[in-house]
Amino acid sequence: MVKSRLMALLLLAAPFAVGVPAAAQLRVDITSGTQAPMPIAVPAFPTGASAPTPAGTTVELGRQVAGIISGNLQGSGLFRPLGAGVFPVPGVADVQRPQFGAFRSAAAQALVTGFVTANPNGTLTIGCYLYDVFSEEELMRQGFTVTPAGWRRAAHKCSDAVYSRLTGESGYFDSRIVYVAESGPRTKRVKRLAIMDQDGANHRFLTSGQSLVLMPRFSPVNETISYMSFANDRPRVWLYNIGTGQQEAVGTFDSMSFAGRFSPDGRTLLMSVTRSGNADIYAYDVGSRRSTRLSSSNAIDTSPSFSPDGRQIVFESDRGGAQQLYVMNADGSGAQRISFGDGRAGSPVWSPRGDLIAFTRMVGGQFRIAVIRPDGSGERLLTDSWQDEGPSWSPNGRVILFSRTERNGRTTLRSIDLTGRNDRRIPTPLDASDPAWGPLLR
Amino acid sequence: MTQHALPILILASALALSACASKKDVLPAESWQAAPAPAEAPIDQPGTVPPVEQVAPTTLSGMQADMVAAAGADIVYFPYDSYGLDEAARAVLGGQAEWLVRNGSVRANIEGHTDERGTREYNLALGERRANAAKNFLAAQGVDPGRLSVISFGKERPAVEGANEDAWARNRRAVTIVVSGGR
Amino acid sequence: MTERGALLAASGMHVALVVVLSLGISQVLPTLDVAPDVTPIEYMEIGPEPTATKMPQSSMEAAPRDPGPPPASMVPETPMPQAPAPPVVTPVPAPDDRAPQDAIAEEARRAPPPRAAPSRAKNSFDPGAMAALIDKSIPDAPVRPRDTSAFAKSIEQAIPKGARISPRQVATLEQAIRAQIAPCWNPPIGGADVAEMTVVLKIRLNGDGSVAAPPEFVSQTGASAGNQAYARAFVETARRAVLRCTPLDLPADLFAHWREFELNFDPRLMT
Repeated sequence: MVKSRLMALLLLAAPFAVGVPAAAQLRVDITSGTQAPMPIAVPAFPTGASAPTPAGTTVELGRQVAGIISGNLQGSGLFRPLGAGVFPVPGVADVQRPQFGAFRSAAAQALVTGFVTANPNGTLTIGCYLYDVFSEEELMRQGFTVTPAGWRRAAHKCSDAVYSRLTGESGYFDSRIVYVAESGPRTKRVKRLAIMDQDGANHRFLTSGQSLVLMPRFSPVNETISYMSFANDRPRVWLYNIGTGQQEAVGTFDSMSFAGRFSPDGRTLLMSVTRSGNADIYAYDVGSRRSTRLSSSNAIDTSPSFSPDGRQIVFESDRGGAQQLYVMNADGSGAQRISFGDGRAGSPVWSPRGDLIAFTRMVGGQFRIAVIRPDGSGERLLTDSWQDEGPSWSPNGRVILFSRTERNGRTTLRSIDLTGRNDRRIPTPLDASDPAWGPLLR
Repeated sequence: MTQHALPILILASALALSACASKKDVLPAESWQAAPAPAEAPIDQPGTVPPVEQVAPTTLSGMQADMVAAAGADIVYFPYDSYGLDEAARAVLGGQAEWLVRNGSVRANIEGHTDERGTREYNLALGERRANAAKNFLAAQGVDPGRLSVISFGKERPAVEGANEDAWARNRRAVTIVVSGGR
Repeated sequence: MTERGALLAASGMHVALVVVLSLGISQVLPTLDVAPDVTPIEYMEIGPEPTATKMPQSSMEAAPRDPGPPPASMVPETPMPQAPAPPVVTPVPAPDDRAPQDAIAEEARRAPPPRAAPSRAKNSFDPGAMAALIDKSIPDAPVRPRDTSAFAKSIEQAIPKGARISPRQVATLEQAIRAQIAPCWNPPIGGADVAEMTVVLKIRLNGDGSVAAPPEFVSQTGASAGNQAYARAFVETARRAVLRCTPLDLPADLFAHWREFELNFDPRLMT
């Protein structure tokens, strides 16, 4: 009887011997976080001994380099730089062995520091270091040697190194934007080509405004811009080498050509050429100067854009009745419609990352910037204003530049992150339209 | 005499060559914005683009007024996103055709325009469609198509400012400009 | 009680335990005030006053840990204080006041689950109101007092330490950890393939909740040769989340269970 009771007790206790799994196997799922810019400390870059340079003293340059880096990181929308005025200028010894306490109490999660040195041969050396504030480990270091005239590029390259190490994206800060600067009444608008660094510095005009100019686009491989000019009342595409100033007309078409855009290897220029009131897409070989017609529908086919692997082309066509997006092979075969839904779709641009196509979605009279996957799925509207059009991707396929027209006629340049956040104005001296983001400089 | 022959020969060939140069298709001289060029990427280079003579056709304003008086208008209008000619447009173009046939020596340049409610590239093509529609109509009425040229300005040259239906309607147009001069 | 009876009871309880563990206690007892980032639970409106008086089926599965007859009438929708004393397994410090609800939890889950879960979460605990709803006609289950004989003590000691935490306490702990770590995590949204990535880190904490060692990488999914830079940035955001928001504030009496645990970062709700 006792034995039976014993057995009973043991058996009753048995399930509880199993109990809850042991603590080391406790696994907690974190299934969402927050989307917030990362606080990052960017104190002024120290210098050994202040030396004068044609670009200012090295002390001033150290402050300005930190300022450019802060501005770039802030503008990306992914960082919240803590810099000017928050931290004292570190000493040169602190660059390799920072005092993390101050940065930790300011709640910075990473630290960018470096130095500026004037070399005896007149060049500048700018060092760039990135640290993780919690673990205190060095994440990245790079150095750049530049002429005094190119010191801003070193700051942009340092920004790119910091940005890509922390986000995994490739950089986009050491690049330029070409666009059309507009002035005057809308009925007699003066349009000039202009170029500037992506942060607005080094702005200059490239044409005088005598002829109407439109749609400038960068070559990915050299200092050439393709654009459309109405000079001599012959609207056509031109190639303009901004290094040498040489210009050359593209092809010998009797009719209007427009909407030029380079292939990723820079060897082909896609564009539209009109024919009896319709427009076809042509591929112009820059080297041999020969043109091949790629599309031949009785429709307006325009705004062609290559995929980053050069194998496909996205373009807009009204062959189905109204403007929609189509994807075809690089030889012109196999065109498939990819845009559906309300309204029309136009001015598509393939992302350099290959994963998305940005375009203008038109519903009623409203134009909005949207993105869509190359197979036509996942369309997302990013902006919501009156007329946003003409998107262009940053070199890393993360930020979209576009032109916004307001009802009162003002046109400005704006940019937005592909997640739809950080919609911001790009300041220009005059009104602006038709922006094109150039490649990362080497 | 022979000691002058060589310089004259050189001068002559230079003149001959410069005549060739003027026929090359280059842009008119632009006046460059003076700006300090950075060492790496000189952009503003005054004088790198050779100058060219003006070859654009010139408008004859007197004859233009004459045509307007005869045909009623030098502009025809279009519905939104369309390049079809309605009754009124056909009547006006018919009048222009008659006048052009009567004045066989002049040429005409037809401009196509759109309102602002379209992307820039598409509107250039649509403007060209409108200009072509007008040109084809005139040709069908007996005007020699060789005398007619078309150009599209898309949405770049609106006739009236404004973001309303009235302004938009007045910008969707094809304009017939009487010109003279060669291409 | 015969051996056979005990065998049946034991197998019944084994089944109950397996069912409880596989269905997940956390879905049944969300009582902690959690941050909005935590997995939301479906709530259903069921009206101002619960009035159902359906009795549970009497069966071995439904029985509490006592071998007696089925317990007093249980109102599935509302928490009840009248259940028999908790089973033998209690943590070494004072037993949790709300432990009786363990039995109720299993009970209620056999009732229609959607009605049971929300009401318990939503309604505050009012013993007076509960008492009024009990059908006094059914005899109370006999309460088996804890056997403090040496034999029972040796059984207790033989039970592994890890078994001394109730499933409800596990859920509470998970909620607390999640609520403190999740707001500190900034995954790299917008990066290529980030939507498919996850990472597991092993965390070791000191008694005050601070990290005893840097978070240790255990495993990662979604990384490929083509997205290495994004994969690394992803893992680093998880590490930073931990280092940013420690020391954690967790119940000291459960330290044995949170001195070492794993965090699985999965941004599926954000992308």
